[in-house]
Amino acid sequence: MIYRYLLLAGLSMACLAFMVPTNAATLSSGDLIKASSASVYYYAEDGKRYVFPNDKTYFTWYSDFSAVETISDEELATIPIGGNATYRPGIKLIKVTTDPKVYAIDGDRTLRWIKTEAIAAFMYGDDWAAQVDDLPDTFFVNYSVGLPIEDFYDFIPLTVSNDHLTIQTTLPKSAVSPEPEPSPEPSSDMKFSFTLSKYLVRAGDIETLTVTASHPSGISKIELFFDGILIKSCISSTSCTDETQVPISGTKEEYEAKAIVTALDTTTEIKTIAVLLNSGSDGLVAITVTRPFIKSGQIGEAVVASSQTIAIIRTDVYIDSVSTKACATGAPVCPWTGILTGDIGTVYEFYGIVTDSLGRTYRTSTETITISENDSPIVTTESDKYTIYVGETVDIVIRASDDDGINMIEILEDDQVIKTCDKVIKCTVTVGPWAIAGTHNYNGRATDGLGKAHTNANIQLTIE
Amino acid sequence: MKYISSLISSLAAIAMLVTPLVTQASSTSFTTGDLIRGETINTVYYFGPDGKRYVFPNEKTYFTWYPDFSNVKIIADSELSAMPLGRSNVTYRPGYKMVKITTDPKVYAIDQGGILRWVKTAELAETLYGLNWKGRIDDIPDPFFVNYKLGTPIENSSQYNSQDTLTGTSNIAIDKQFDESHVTITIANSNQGFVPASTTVKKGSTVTWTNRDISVHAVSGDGFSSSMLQPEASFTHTFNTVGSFDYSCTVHEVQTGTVNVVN
Repeated sequence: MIYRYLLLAGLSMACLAFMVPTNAATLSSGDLIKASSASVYYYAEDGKRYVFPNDKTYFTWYSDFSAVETISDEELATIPIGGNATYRPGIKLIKVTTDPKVYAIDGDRTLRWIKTEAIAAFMYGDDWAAQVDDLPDTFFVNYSVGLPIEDFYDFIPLTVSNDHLTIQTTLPKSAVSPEPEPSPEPSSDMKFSFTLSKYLVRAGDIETLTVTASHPSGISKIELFFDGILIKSCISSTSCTDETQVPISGTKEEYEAKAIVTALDTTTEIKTIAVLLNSGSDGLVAITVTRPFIKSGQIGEAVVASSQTIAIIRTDVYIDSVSTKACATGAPVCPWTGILTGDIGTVYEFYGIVTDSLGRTYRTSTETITISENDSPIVTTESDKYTIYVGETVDIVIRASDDDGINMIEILEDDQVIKTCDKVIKCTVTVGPWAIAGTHNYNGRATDGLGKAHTNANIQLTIE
Repeated sequence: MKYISSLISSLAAIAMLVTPLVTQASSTSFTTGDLIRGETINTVYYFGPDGKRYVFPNEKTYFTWYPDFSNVKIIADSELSAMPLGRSNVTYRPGYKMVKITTDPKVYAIDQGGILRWVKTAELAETLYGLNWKGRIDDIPDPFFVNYKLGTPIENSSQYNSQDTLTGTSNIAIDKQFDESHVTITIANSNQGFVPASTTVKKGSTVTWTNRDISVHAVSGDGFSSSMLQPEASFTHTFNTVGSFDYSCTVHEVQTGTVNVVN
């Protein structure tokens, strides 16, 4: 059952084996070997052979069997089995038949669950589903399960696969390298601490720098610098603190905070701390494209929404890095709509930048609209109330429409499907009553008559 | 962020003609040590006290433990998928047969815990397994060899008794040295519930609930209640009195379960 390809290749190799016998003494680690039977093994640095559990595993490493050397059965029998080879990291995605989770393969034989389809599509393209192999349950034990992939840049397939060019790089480290000697602490009589109120800042934030210092001869001077500018100098004091505003305009991604302490005997010590500038969304701003796939000439819609905790003075919607619309009203929602045209496969990139009253900026993630032969269904979510009390229920209504008809609507609660409606354009579910206060997110996923699915943005229900 | 698209409110006017069907999986009761399978795929698993399901690599392995499939319980696919796979596979029942791999002539007897012990001579194999010892050897496919560990070779017949080993390892829990006084229940999403929803333990057993969902859950029953359990967090309670203890998730009221404590 397992050896379909290995068997075919193995048989033809077996005939050759009698004509060109290979001497075991010439084996070196990294070789592919086989004997009279069909199975091919990887010969590793530990002198053991590693088994390919199935042909799919083999083909993540090799495109054919041309490099396989044939040795005698007797020689093969003297080489112990070390374990099983696993998928080459970064090449494919796998799942087990009885679990819907899709995993990427990282180094050290680690499986990492890809939490959303959007991340899978970002990593492996729109046809990511075609990259998913079913791993027989039996071979799940050959892997360990690592941390899930929650963000787009958690896992870059090409980088991971380039870091693993040989099976050897995926095998457990047999030898433990000795602990390195701890390097001795540089001895100094200067005791000196330098702290900041924030290490990750936004433009416009107030940053506080604090130094306390001591030296047997006494402290002569403490100087504080931010972005190369002296902001405070304290004379004959063992502590020094001051605040400064992080520049609002500028292209830097990080600033340097620096403290110089000088003792009375002229001993001088310098400490620097990198302050990273955060221009990300922090979950406070988000962009939603109503339909990620549209036909050329259809109306595309992207909406930037901001948390009410931001004092918004301006919201910009960018298409392909060009500001296309600015909402200056301070409204928490800034929609852009327009006709998009292009050849099939054309991708428009959308993101939003929200500016607050202090000039601080918040950038959303990037979403795309792709010109496609088949457009995504339009999906909307409605609820009579967004805040209900413990013990109450509320109806969540998902509607969908598409030129090709709607095949299915699924309603999701906190990313889990709680209801499925077939062949209808409206699907309702009653949620609650809850026993305790909290929040739940609801959204819908519609699949059109041609199988294209789209999931809309969450609405949040608060239970008080 | 409460944003709702109202692009197509005109759709509201269109009446619904089809009543959607909601598929609700039937809930079969199963407990530690049971054989289980899902509704659609016929792979059989051993359900361990750690709340995980253990794979039989092939039928030969299965039949060293069970004569047939009559005791396999069919559970909802959703329940099955909520349960993690065990970190090891089921191995041959110790003492039942000897094994070898196709590409190595060594014959091994099996000891508890999937330990392979090389039977050094044909004479020794005959002493251990009788005249028909050659009929008592199975070939293990190479990819399953990693499920076993190599132990010390058997030098003489006093070092291994196949019948004692067989009767001393009457079930998979003994072979895998599971602590059956410690049972784990998976907290899945509100659709899948607690897996298993009903479980039977001996008095004095410790039950651990582990949240394998992506939402927060909390376990609350008569005499025990957890704090809010974040994903991957656990709550443990020891049951020292006999009886049936119903419990539920305080966040998702539909999610209920029962622990039956017996002597």
